[in-house]
Amino acid sequence: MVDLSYLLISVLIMSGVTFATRLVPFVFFARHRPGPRFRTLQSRLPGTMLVILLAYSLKDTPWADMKTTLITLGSLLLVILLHRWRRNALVSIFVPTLVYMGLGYYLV
Amino acid sequence: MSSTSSSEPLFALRTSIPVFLGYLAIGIAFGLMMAGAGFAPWLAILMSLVIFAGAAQYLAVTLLSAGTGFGSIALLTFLVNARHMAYGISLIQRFAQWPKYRPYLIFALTDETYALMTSLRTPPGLDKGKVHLWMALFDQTWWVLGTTLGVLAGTWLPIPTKGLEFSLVALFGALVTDRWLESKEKDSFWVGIGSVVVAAFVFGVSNLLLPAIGLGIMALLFLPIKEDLDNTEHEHG
Repeated sequence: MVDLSYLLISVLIMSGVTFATRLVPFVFFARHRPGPRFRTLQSRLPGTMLVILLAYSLKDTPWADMKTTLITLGSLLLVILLHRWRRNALVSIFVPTLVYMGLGYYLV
Repeated sequence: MSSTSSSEPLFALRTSIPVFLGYLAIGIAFGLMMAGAGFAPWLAILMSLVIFAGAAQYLAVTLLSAGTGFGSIALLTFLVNARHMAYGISLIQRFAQWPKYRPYLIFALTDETYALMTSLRTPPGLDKGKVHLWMALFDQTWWVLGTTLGVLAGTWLPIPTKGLEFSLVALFGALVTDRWLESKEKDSFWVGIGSVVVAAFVFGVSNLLLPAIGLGIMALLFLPIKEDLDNTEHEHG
């Protein structure tokens, strides 16, 4: 069994480092009056980051497995279509996730 | 409709339900991993309370089991969380409006919370600061709840969780679609797609995250991008 103080100190370090990482921009840019380039970055970054996070959430998909790939892409397409249609995040997430789970259960 | 003081939590709860599914799934997975590695339930729950970072906590299971040194733990946690440094950039002025809530909002700035916050459209009449605070609190509640279920019930709970992880893909898919439909500019999406493709090609699909963020920021700073069709975009919410 691992030593208790080792575990507690490790958890504190991880907590502190994680918070510090999230804090960086708030401290670093606190006194900086944003110029036009920085404002462009601020307004564009969320769109760019969302695309990157979407790609990242798909990184563990076994692309070599044709069935899983089709189910994944099909369910993602369903998310986009449902969202264009209803603009309701709950529907666009619930329904395709159930479809993905169901198809995965029966086909894979 | 006029607002009542209880509307902020209700609106925040509704907004954070998509995260509920995803966090329950990956929280349970984290709890199961901790139980599997032989750690006590309280440790898993404590970690979800004071760290609140999915990838870093997954990594921590391995690090703690191996008795990794403090320096390496700090360095690896930093590397896994480095993407979070990009999130605050778009939220500086927004969070500055609510100094009381700011420390917690920064603490709770996970991938999913950031994504929800940047896509948020608060109905008129609601206190935006309170909506942000409640949303962050609900997100962490789902994370702690998932962790607790996973670590306590472990394998005996008859919840079919296989495939539930797709809810995170669906969450980001819906948020990308929403932002695409909302924003007049499309530069940000093309920059995102380009960064992902280049990063995946050069560094491999599993390592694309940090290089893609780096490329994306460079492109947004240095490419001749049109300013400002929608200067107010980041002040939504």
